[in-house]
Amino acid sequence: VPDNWELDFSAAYLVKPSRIEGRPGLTGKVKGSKLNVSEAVLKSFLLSLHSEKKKTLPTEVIFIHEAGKEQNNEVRELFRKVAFFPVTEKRSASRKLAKRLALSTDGRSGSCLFVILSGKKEGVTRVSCWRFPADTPLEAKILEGDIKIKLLEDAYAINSPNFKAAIFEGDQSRSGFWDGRIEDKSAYKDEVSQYWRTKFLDCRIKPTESSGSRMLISAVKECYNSNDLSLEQKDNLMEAVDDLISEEQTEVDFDLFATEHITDDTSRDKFVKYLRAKSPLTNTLPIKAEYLERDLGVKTIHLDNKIKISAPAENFDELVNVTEGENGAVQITISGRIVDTKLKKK
Amino acid sequence: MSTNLEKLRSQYEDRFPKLEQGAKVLQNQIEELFKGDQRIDFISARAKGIESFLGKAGKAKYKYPLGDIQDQIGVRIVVKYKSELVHVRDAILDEFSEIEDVDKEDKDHTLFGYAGIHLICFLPEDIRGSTGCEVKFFEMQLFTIFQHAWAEANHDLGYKSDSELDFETNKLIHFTAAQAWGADKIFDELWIKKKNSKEGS
Repeated sequence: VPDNWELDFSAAYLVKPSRIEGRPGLTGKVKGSKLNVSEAVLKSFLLSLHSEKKKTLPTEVIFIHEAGKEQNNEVRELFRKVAFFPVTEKRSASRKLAKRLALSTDGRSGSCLFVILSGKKEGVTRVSCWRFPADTPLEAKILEGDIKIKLLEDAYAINSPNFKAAIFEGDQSRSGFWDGRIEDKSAYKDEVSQYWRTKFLDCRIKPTESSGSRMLISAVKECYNSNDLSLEQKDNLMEAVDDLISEEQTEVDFDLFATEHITDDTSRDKFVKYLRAKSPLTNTLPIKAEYLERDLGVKTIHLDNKIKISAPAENFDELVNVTEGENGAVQITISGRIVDTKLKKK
Repeated sequence: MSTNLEKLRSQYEDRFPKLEQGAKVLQNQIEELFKGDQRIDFISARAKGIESFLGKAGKAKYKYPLGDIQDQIGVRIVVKYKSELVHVRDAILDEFSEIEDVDKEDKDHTLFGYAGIHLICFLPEDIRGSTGCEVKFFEMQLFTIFQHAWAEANHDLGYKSDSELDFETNKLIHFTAAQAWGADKIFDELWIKKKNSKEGS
């Protein structure tokens, strides 16, 4: 049981989805209260989630500041109140967060239990919150206005809880509580669950697509230009990057990318080490096809008949001659010798 | 000197060499980003001086100076023409995550004074890791040449003046700001005219 976090506040609320188009406001009351976690099993369960190493939550996020104004974000203020303010304000801020969650969630997501904890360790204050859906390992009841939570004895649910989580931490200075980490352990991680990060938390992913793409491509170039890879291995690596571009991937797990596409052990280790130094807190880099091409130094044109032509950007116009024809059609002339032909599996 | 201030001085003195190292690495990173870019006049980065930090820390609004003061590393990018400021800002925001993005030019059309874009961005984790810099953020100021010149000249005379300025001195300082604004406006128009004529030819 992780016991070195000193828990100083906890609250839980039953939250019904309230985001209905054309109908502002809550559809029902958010029921819940400050939580008394005296039961040892429950305390142990929640504290173990609260104490998780930050890195286990895969996505780094930051609060979105108000455009053109000095640093401000309403949700960050609520988290800071839960962290540092007297208990009455902690209670009010946590209820406001629960209401915000209700207003951020539409009917597709179902009712849920929202739990928020605040704890301190070695001068750092951490606020964690979770959204547990109906098949949660926690059972909640409202008794005389207070919420009581029981941990169900379902080993599977306890060991593989299905939830969304967020952790923010820092000190009381202006620089604290701007970044955090989130996780989505729910079954469907599509746009439906984007509401957790965007609508509820008002956050965006911390590394930018441009910096993520730049880091990935510089690691690929280092690897490609070393003498450790055979020609075929180099080809495979470039094809993997090409796939990221043509499939318009928006993020890449560099650990997984290395495992799948760099077969040489030394190069793979160097590649991962290089990126881990650049991005020590996360393996997931946001990327964008346009930036990958920019950093790779490749220019590509896509035709409407699925033909794609790529060439080094610096002499693309010399190598690829495009003549405009009728009705927007083009004729393209390329000069060179064929040195290899490959059939790529779909 | 109070015990608190002595403690703060000692803490900042410990931190200072790492900030200098962080500023240097950051400057290299930004120079690399704008390598060969003709829009840029210069890029410089610095660690906030110890006395300057302590002076700022004395202000009531900084209750936790080591965390509250976010320009312990400061970067300045000076561009030649005003319309390029926004493009340079966009390129910076493509690369660094920010928590503040403010255009400091006065919105009141009758006033002239300090102008420029201020950003507060996260210091990249690799710089924090490799230099041991404990700060989370750095401040970036984006200026035109004339905004930079005015801010520099005004820094000791106006902004950090020891005594309250009289009416005429104030008037003169704001007059020079208006002139700097006018110079930026004219040079930018000439620059755009040149660009358009090149594209047209």
